[in-house]
Amino acid sequence: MKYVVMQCCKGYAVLMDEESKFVFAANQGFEVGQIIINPVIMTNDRNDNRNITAVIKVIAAAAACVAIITGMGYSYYAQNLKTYSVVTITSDSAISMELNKTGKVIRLTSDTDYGKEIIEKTDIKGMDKLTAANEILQTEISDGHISNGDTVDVYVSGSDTAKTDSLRTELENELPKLDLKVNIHDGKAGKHDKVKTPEKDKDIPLHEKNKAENIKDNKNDKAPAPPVTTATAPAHKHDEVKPAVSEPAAAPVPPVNADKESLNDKKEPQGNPVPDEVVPPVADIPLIEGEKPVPPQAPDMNEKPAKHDKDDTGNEKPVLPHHNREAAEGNAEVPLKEQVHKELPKTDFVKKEDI
Amino acid sequence: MNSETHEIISRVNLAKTDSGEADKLISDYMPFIKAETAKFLNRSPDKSDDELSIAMFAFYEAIRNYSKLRGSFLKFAAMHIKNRLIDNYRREKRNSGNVSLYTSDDEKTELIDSISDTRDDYGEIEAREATKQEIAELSVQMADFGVSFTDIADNSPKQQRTLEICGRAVRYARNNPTILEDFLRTKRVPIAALAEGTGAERKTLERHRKYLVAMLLICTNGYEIMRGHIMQVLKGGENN
Repeated sequence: MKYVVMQCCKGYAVLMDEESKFVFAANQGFEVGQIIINPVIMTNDRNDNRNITAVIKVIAAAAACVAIITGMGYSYYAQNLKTYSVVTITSDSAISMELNKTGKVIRLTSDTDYGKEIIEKTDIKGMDKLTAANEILQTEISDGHISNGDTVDVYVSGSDTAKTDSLRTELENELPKLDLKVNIHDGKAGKHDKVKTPEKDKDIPLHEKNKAENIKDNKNDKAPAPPVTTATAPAHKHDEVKPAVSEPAAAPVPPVNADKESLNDKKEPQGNPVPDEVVPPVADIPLIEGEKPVPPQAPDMNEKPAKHDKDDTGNEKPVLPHHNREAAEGNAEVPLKEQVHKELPKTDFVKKEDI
Repeated sequence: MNSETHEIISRVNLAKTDSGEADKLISDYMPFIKAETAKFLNRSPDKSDDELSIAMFAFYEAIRNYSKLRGSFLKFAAMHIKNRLIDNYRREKRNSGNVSLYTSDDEKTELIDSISDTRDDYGEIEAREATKQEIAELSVQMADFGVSFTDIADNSPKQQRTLEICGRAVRYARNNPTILEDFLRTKRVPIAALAEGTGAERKTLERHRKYLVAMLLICTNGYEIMRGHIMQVLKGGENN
């Protein structure tokens, strides 16, 4: 290829080839305008490659730095900030302590207001697990939420079984130094776990306890307590049904058909608390002195219903439910349940306002 | 020592962009260049030796390619000179089977004297003078655009594909005289019109703006010899 010398300098010459490409070449005594055939042309390829290599080196170094920093950061996180086990004290405070690998408290949580108060009040974060547990329990003792001899359940949970076991052993060895009965359990605490106080009736179920309290309140108010216990049907047809709550002696029992009464008793709600508007049978209500007992009023079956319908002749007739209407017209059989319902007096439950 | 090193590096950095400073640096370090050539030739080089001019060119290459990551400049330049001389030696060795025109059998008459010379030396000298004039004119006109031949050599397309795209743009401008007139009037390369007319990437043309300045100037009137030299490129336009 022919080159035209375009410029001559001391160290180099600028040449233009036939493809109109301008190149640097060694100035081997050239003159401007001279045609050259085989010049020594400058090549920059090696330089470019080296630049790329340098860039790659810089990127690799930066990546290595990032990897080292990330690794160090993760190891610090795993050692100090990652939760390895959780200790939950199921007292009134219900505080859960999250512990790191070294057994230091890294986070404290509580669902109760009192627990949150303790967390704010005491500087437990960063403490050793045993010191923190002692601190919490002592604070609760001093605040009067726990008294000596109470039983406190402590739950220990964690991903590492061996670690959890050793933690449990430590707690078992250290916590009994307090004047409390501490039970250590594996796993997470339930929401309703509380301090067990050593009372006589501690084994009584909650609903039984409430019932007793209700009775007490009713006695104080001189009002009969609602029948909370399930009334059982009499074994014999003529057996008298005894109400669960002690009946006032002065209250005369109105003559009620025994059969009907036994049936009524069977229909009483089972176990559930009685709604406010419903009061016990009239027989159970103590009477005020000098007042005559009012026998229970059987519903007047001849009484007109609230809503009326008119027949073809224009006379009003009671509106019945669909199946009752069918029964009245003789189209369908009246079910046994309906028959029983009709026969039963509806005076067993009267509204408070009526009384 | 440290201040000297800093001085060389600052001069090298300056010479990378300034061809005059590069010439000055080469002149100042001529003894060093000769010393490195002498190490290779095992003799003191003459001014007429190709090896010396190649060593000077290698020194200039070292100036352009040097960066601080490469260590000491003089060591880098010495290595560059040595490599260039070795490359040149290998290239010459490939032609070792050829007989030089200047060899003589009887030490009185050289081989060149025995061959009939069919060349028109006068015509050649005239053509060279005319080319020289054209190049001088082009150089002056390029200076108006703020471009030198060194800049163009730096900015010239390296890849064949890019060269073809630029050649297409030049051909398009040559076939549309209004574009060339606008170019001379506004002294701005009509990149948008060229990109639109040729379908080339605007970015590609933008990268080679200085090169396009030289090529578009050559396409204007007054540069017949230059146009004749790059006819291969311009011919492609006629085919399109």
